[in-house]
Amino acid sequence: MKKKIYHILAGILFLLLMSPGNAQAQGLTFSISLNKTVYAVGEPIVCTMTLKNTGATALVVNHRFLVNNPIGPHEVSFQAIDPALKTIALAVRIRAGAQSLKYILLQPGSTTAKTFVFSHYFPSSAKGQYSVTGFYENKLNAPASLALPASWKGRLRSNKAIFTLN
Amino acid sequence: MKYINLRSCLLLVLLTWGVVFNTNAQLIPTPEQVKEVQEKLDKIKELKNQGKPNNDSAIKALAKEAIELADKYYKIPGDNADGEPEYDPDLEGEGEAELSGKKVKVKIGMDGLDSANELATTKYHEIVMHGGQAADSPSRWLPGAKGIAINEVEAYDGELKKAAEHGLSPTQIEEIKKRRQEYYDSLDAANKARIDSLKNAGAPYTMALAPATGTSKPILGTGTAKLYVVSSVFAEDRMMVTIRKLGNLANLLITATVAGRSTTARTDVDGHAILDFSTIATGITVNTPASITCTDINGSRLATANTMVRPGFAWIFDRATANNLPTEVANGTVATIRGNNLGAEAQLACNGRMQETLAASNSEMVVFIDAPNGNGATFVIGSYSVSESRITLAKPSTNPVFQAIQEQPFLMGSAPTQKAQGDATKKTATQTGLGTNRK
Repeated sequence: MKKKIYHILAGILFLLLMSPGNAQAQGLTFSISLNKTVYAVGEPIVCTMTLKNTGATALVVNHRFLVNNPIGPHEVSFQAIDPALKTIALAVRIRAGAQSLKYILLQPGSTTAKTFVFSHYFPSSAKGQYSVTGFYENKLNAPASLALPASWKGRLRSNKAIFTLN
Repeated sequence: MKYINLRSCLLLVLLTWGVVFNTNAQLIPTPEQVKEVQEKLDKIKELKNQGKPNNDSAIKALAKEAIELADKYYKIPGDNADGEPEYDPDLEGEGEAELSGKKVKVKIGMDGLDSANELATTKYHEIVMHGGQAADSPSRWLPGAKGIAINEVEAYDGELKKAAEHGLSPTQIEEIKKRRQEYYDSLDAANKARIDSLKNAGAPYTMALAPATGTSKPILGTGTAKLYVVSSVFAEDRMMVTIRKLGNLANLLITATVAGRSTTARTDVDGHAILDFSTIATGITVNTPASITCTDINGSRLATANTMVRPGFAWIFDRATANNLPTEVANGTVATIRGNNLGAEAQLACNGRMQETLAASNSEMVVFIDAPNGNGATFVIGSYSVSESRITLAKPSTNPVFQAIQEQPFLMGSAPTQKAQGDATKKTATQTGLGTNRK
């Protein structure tokens, strides 16, 4: 009887560990970095977004890294704060679908990254210190054509990157 | 009989002319022209299948040719475009429009090169629809989450109108409808109804919200100085605060102190300032009281208020929710709205007019009410989203100073004199410079 209960509990534990949407258990992290810390006004600010599998098992992750306003299709949205502590609005309108076609199997310890020109999306000319935080989110599985297992789903907040505009 | 035959012939000629005219008006490219564009795109696919990257020179050249041919054959008006749309190998999604004066700079991504009609409808979306909004900017290139949603609903509606001319497949049309619906669903009920009405009338989609009046300054800026704050803020969040007092409101020092650590901000000309609690409270593990003070340039304390700093941060990109939108409000009073994902820049819209925010954080906002009298939709425009709305009755103010200002709206934003505070009647207000009647 004890053995049976042990097996049931072990089964429940296994299912809990395998359930999707648990970012901590699945060990995926999202970080951002800038190519410099001080920029001249008008100089391109280049940002790299990185997903890292910090867990022990491979994960299917969406690495399209579509940067957009959170009310539109996106994998990444940014909170960019200017020297007056006001948010900078996304300057572009983007036509895209919710379904990404860019999924990969990310092995433990591996990373996938994308670089983009941050200042194109969030232009600003006020001199002073800025802070940037990225939010990664994935809600969908890979399309059937990619024949991949269920993807990692959830959301992650990045580190805060600081830069100065002189 | 001859007459009947002649009339029939004329009718036939007219019908034939009508069909020909109509066909020409649809501007559908010929199958050969579509094939010519598609051949370029197929070559791009071949190169991609061979492992060539998006920025391969041959792919870039083919993309340029396809984009130019699509312009020519689909006859997409380029008046609103600042230069020829360019292929951007790094762009995720099909297309992107960036405001450039009264025009748009357009980029096309690899996803926009999927097929000839996908390219055509993407260009139409960016150049004609977003470009049209840019041409009428700022009134139609709308700011914030609400503005983007309205702009996108309009752009996708424009694509749907042209679906036949661009030869879109049922699958493509379904995808456009789905995207349009997602943006539409992010709006509040009142704005959905407005868009429905504008769409039926064939009119441009606009936001139609009047700016805040600024009447809080003369109404609240009386007697003792008062600092408006919200009751709680996340440790990694910002809080907007406002000082109201007689005289100058600019460049006053606002200091927030949590567990012995302080952060400061200076007020703008309207007495508003934003405090960044992440610089002093990140890492706290329990609710921690904080004090906020306002001092003048001489260091004299003008006002103090308290708040509670809660551990953690907010998922600010979730939809804004307002838990206690009022069923009725009195003009000239201060209202507190509680919710989630509001943000330091949150604003309340009431009866077609933005209300002046006095304090705001992720979970609460304090608002001075000055809305057109009567029933209207009320909702919160958060930093990144729009809350659902409800119908609110805005009642006339019983405050005589407010009534006086309402009748002389050119005074809005100017602080009343001491004398006006003491005898706040319409007559006194006029006598003391609260206004000379504009008539």
